[in-house]
Amino acid sequence: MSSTSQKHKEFVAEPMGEKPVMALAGIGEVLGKRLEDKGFDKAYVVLGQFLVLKKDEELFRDWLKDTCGANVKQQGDCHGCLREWCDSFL
Amino acid sequence: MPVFVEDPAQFSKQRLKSALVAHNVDLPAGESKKRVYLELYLKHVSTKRAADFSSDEEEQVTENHAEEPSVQEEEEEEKEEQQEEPDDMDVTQLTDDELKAQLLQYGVKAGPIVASTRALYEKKLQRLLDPVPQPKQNGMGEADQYSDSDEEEADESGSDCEHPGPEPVVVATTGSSHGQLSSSQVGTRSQEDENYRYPQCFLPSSRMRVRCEPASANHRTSGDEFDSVAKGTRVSVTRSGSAQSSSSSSASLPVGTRVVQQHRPVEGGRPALPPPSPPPSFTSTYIPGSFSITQMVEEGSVCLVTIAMGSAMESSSRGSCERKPPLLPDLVRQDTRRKDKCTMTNRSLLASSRVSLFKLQLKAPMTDVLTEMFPGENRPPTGISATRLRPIKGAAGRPVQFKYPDSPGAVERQELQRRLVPVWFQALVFLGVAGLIYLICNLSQGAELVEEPLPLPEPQDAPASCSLGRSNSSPSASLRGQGWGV
Repeated sequence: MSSTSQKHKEFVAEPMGEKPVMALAGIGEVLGKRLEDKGFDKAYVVLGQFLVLKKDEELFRDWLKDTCGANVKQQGDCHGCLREWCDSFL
Repeated sequence: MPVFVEDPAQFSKQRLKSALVAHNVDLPAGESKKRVYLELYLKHVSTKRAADFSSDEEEQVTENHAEEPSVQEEEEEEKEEQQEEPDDMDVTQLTDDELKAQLLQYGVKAGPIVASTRALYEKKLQRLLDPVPQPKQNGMGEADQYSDSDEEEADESGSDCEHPGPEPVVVATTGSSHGQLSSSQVGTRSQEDENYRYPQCFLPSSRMRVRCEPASANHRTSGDEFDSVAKGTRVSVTRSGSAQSSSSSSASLPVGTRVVQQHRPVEGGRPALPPPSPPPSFTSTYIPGSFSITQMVEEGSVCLVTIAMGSAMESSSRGSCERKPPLLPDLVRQDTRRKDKCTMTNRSLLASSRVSLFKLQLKAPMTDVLTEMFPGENRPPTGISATRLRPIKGAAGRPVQFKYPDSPGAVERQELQRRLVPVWFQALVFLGVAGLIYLICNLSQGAELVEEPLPLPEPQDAPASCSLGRSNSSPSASLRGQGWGV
């Protein structure tokens, strides 16, 4: 991440608690809606998926693409924000 | 051999059809009833199965299909095979553990394979199993066959210009080594910078810059004229300021170009044209040769200097040459240097059609000599390439440059050399200081010797002279220190 977005900073700054999935960086309304439809309504569910994939970037990116059709930048944003969150809070 | 036998009558029509197709049975044209297919099926397929043991040939045929009691299964398999690797492993059929083991075989440490992750791991395994089409490493193979054709074209067009019978070599003397620069190199600028167009020999000196445009326009029109008149080599010499025929010692800033033809000594700047514009008077030399003027003008190619062209050339050129004081702007000098390096030969750029090639190089000067010599070549990833032997043009004239500018010590050395005072100056200073000290010592000793025989009228005199000597020597020492410090 060359430059982190505001969303990224906000997400990484604190425990995610019950934040919705759209609080994740790279996940906007459209992708958030798709994820919610698939049951990933909270950010921590996505975090669970991220963790169960052992924080593997490639797999997580693939998963995100398959699940909600995120593009490369969105994948990168989401992965970066979750990884950083894990680094600081896990 | 069928493990279990099904009644073909229960098969669907589609299945019968595909089974028949699989057994190379001609289907009846158009859509028929199931009965027709069934008959055909019984006739061909079933009999084959029945006759399993009768003949070897049939066994071959049936063996292929004996294991496929249901064509549907076969289709499924085919479908899987299409999307799968040839070794028949269906990743979707693997259990979680097997999938994990398979992934481990490929060096992937899989995490927990659960419902939400299984698909991903399957995909990953699939990707690993699929033979990734490797990018062809031997990219050079075809280059060997085809790449030469381009070059030959270039060579053909080049040879026209490069090796005409009596090779008209246009020489303009220049070079920092001689302390003179030919303004002809200035024309290079028109290659790089189209804003300035100095068709031949225009020097972009501050004085000339304004006049260049109209002059060049005139120049060009006259060039066209010449072209129509005679197909010949025209080398135009432009001189700014007063047109001087022999001004090897001229201290003014004339833009001079020496033009020399190898086999035809040029009569010093025969004025073939009345000067179109007074300040830069044009003197054109007409040499019937083989290159076209417009091309020369367009390419802004320049007469190049040759130093090693032979003393005969040199002498013949001397008459018609003007010397250029080394007062050119740095830019021009740089151009010259670059030009020299890129043309590599002593031949003029006019004489070669490679100018366009060099133009490319001029834009991005390359550091690697190999890439410079073979510009169109893409290097193989290994860095090793074996190509056919071909002549390296102009390798001989290539200037030797320091190959490893970044090598340890080189930078420091350069830095040091820049800072160091020249040795002769050091020696001079040293000698001067030594002489001074020697002189002072001599003087003080002489004073002592002179004063010694005296009956010491004033005892303070000798110490006074000594202190004087010392006080004299101290500034000299400091001077020496300064000298070394410079």
